[in-house]
Amino acid sequence: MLSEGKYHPPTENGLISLRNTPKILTPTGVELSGDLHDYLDYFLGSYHGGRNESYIYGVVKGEFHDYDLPGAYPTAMAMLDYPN
Amino acid sequence: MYGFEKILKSYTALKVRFVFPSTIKYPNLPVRLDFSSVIFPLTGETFCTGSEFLLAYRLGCKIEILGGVWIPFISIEPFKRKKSLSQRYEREPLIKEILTKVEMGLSSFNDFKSLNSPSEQNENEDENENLKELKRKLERNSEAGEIEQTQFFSVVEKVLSERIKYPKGSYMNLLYKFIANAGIGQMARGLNQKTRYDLRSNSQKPIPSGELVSPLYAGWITSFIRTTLSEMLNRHGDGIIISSTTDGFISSKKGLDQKSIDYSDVFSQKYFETRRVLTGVGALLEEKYSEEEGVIS
Repeated sequence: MLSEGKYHPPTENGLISLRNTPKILTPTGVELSGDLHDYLDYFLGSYHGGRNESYIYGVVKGEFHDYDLPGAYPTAMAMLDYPN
Repeated sequence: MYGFEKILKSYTALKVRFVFPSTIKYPNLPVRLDFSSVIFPLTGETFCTGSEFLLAYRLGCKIEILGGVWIPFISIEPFKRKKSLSQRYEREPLIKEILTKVEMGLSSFNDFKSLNSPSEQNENEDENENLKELKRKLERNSEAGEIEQTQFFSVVEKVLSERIKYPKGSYMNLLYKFIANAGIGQMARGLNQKTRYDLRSNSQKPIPSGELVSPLYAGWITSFIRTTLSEMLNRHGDGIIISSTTDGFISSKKGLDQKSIDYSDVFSQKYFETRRVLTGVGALLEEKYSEEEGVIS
């Protein structure tokens, strides 16, 4: 856990930026990125896309309905806040 | 153990080892198999976010935390206003106008009912019913719960309030939809170092990140939707689920879009309330399509 109020965006020190992720994983990048390496691996590792799966394969007879969550990603984005 | 809200309202990323009970049909922790496959097994080791951890815990999963980071949302409570639909209606001229029209429509119909011809009366009765229904809908929605208004909320609200001014499927409606989705796309752009064809060098080059890239934001958004979907899959009960696709699923159950929200489904409830305050529409699911004969999966 980062202590409260200690988080700062990776770009804040002006030396290293997430815009160039591969550079962060170099000796220079590690040294210049401050606390970034304390948490970046966890957040990159826990980033996944949508849940796309088939649970049944082949022809399935019967009545079926295709449902979706309207405006899913924008709605979730509205719940975000700045990290402390 | 931190409280539910404290974990949900934070950027939490954990490395975990887990075992779900064998009775769980749709485990929710993603495990990467190779460069292109992610599966959701009953047991394994993976990185997950706070919302995924919370749902797994609620599903009875045994979780060993191997490491992790917890960064709470910024605490600006004294300045952060809670927002409810009734406040929204007070500020929103369009909604106020609709409400006034509803009132005027009802009173003018009652006053002049006797002067109209029978055909006009039928038309007016239909219109009156529509107005009544609209009023009932607005009243129902104004009882929606409060949610916190963050700066992200304000941005999304602006875009969505423009979007709903235009009919569904119209060009402008779709344009605003893509503006909202593009913003989220930018948060994740370049994280995976995916490649695309570059005409100048006639080769595949990694997609560069943009100014808005943030694995914290992108991870929170996508995992919250995966979690809400996984919660619905696990609460589906009888019937068949054919597949799931990011923000939806194909089911043999009819009328899930009409089903009222179960308040023990915490993620669905959060999603529902946010959506309701954002757009004024109280719907968790939307039916896109139905098929009577069958499907090929």
